[in-house]
Amino acid sequence: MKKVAIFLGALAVFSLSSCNKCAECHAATEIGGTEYELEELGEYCDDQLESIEASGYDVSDTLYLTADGDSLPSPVYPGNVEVHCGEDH
Amino acid sequence: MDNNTGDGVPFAKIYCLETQNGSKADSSGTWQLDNIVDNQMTIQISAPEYDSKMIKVDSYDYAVIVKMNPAHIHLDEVIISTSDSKLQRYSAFPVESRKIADLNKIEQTNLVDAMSNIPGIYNFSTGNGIAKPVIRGLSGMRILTSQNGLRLENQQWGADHGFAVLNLGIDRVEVIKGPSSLIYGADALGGVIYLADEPYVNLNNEEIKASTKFETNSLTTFNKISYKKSKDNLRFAVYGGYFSRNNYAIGDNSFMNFSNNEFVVNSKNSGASFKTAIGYNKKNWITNFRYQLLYFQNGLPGHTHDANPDVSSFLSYNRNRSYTIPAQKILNHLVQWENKFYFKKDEIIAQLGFTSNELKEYGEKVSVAGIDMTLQNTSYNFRWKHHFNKHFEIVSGSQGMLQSNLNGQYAEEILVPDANFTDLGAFSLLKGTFNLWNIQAGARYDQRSITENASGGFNTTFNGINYSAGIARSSKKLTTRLNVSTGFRPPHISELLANGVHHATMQFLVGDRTFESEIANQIDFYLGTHFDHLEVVINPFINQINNYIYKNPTGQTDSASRLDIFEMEQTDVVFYGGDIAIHYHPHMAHWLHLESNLSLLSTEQNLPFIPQNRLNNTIKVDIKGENKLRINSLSAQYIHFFAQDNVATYESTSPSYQLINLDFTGSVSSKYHINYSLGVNNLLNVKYIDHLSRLKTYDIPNPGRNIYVKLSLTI
Repeated sequence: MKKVAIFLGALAVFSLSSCNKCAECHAATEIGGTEYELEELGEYCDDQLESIEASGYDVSDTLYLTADGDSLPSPVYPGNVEVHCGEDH
Repeated sequence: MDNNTGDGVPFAKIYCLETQNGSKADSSGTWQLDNIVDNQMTIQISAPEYDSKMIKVDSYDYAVIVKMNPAHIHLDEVIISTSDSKLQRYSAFPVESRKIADLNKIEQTNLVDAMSNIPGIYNFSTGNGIAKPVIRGLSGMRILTSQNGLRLENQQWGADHGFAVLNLGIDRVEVIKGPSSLIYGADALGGVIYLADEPYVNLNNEEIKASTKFETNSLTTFNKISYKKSKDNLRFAVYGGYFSRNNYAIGDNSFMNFSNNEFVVNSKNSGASFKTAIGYNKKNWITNFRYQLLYFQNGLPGHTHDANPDVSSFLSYNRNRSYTIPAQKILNHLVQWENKFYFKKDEIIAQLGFTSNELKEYGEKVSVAGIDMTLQNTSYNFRWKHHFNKHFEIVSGSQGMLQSNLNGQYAEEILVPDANFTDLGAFSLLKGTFNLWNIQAGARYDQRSITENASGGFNTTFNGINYSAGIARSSKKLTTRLNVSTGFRPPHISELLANGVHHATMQFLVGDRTFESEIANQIDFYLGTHFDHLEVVINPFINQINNYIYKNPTGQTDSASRLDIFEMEQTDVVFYGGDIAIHYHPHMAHWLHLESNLSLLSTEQNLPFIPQNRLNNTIKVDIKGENKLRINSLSAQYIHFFAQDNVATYESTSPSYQLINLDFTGSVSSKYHINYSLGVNNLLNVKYIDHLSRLKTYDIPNPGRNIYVKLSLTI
């Protein structure tokens, strides 16, 4: 029984882990096959993360620059754009 | 007893192949097995400094005396994957059996890396999380993986769909090199990887084993624990394991550099597994039930949105373990129920299996999988063995499976449509044994039906007739073997119907509905000498494959996705090469082992991802000590990969490179068994790109120096 208790105790330690889904998100658009990051949107978690990925992001003014301040090949006009989350840069 | 002196061999291990547990001799060499199987038991006896022996016992009315011959070299393991239950040297099949612990003498990062120490076996990798075994240049759908006889299916057609097995509770791997359709049916065209679980604990014993390993390169932690118990004719084992790796560091050709590393973005991966096995026997019946749950989460390196990417787009000076996309999430369930019946002259094995492989690839969104496929496979394996007399036996069997592939309703990319697959096959194999000679010959018929689940969808049936014949002569000093075998592989539905983007591999694939089955014919010759202090093996082969399917880069780009277009094509190809292995154990230095093997492979045609020729040398020093903290062995490995200039159109050549690995292993003398390993892979921090790395397309190097420490405890 002592060995069973040791085994179960160790297994419990292995299996105890938390799991909440969070990710950094950004508004993005694709021009000529290349993705450009338009705006950093911050971290979203769980339902809010699913929601923003599904609904996208509304651009209200015409954008000429990326989030890093580089020029876009062509302007992005007001409208809905994709939201991408969780990429490693 | 010792065959020369007549003295008992103390503490020899006694293992019964049928019940998968055994006993241990006492200090006088006397042993007893209380758990008896009626009619037939195959007993393997092994001890340090002695040649392993295998005996069949069919009567329990008298004592059995086993005479063992002293030996300094042990290269022989038992073979079960070919229905032989023989030591390797007596098999007429081209099969190699190795203990995982031996392959990991110098610890490797994953199971496929460890298997790559076997001549002719390589690792087709995507970083250190996704690994696929390559046998004599063939991988993916051409390699069949079986765990204790259960066929594993995990969408292995995808270059980034790795070997979904964790090194947890696995004792041994048997590799059948070359076509093996006679016993395993369709798809065993390039060979078979057979994984055999650890044995149960010895009769009326219980055991806990725990181990932990840390690797510096990718900050890996890998923890395992197992509990085994055996009482009379009931036995069980439970295993749990978990690992986590951060992005790996590449080498920079600087031996002194221990910081300022560059890391491969999103090469992180993690996984966990729970596994259990229960065995029971009564009279002539043995049953085993096995279940395993596996979960893997693999980052997919080699992904960028840069307009003009170069290697710097895929590397970073920072890293963290948080989940990022693109990534794969894989959930596997493996269930197997096995029943064996032993009669005076007959043996029946019936296995039922179920596997479920849930593969999700997150490409653009964290919450919605771009690829979402569930592959379920229900299979049976029935085998009947009849002994005519002491010379002849016949093995007949049938295997079948019902497989379904289902895409999730929100999946954005449909690489393989919803479809059902049905396999049915039967074989018969005649075996003969005459003094030093072993012969076998057999034939098989298979049928595979593919039905796409859509009105007017693809629906066709492929047939295959295969054979295998072999003859082996094994004397004390010399083994010779000649084997001819065939294999067939119907085209996979991804090769027939592909027409779209595979985001993870960054390719646009175009299939062909008119493809025919691949058919392989191999001739394999083996010559092995077994002297007291020297073993030399020469093993050439030639494998001709008709209708070989391959991905051909067209040089064109898809206008919508901007990805390179690859067309599936068929051609006839010939693979040829061989392995040469030497194991020298000087008489004046019994503590020294020198092992060397050379793997050679060529193709008549220029094909992609043909492994580099490889020279693998290991020096091992055994140390006997009486200290409380002991070093038991020191090992040094030098591997030379030759340049690969035989490449496909648009594929880059690979220069030669060398790796040096070191290890020392020891134990702590205490009430419990405590073992430790400390070592380093890629000691010189070499910056290299292996020819079988899928990341070579982006010039991303393989991992640099990796220092590891491992501790294990047995209670």
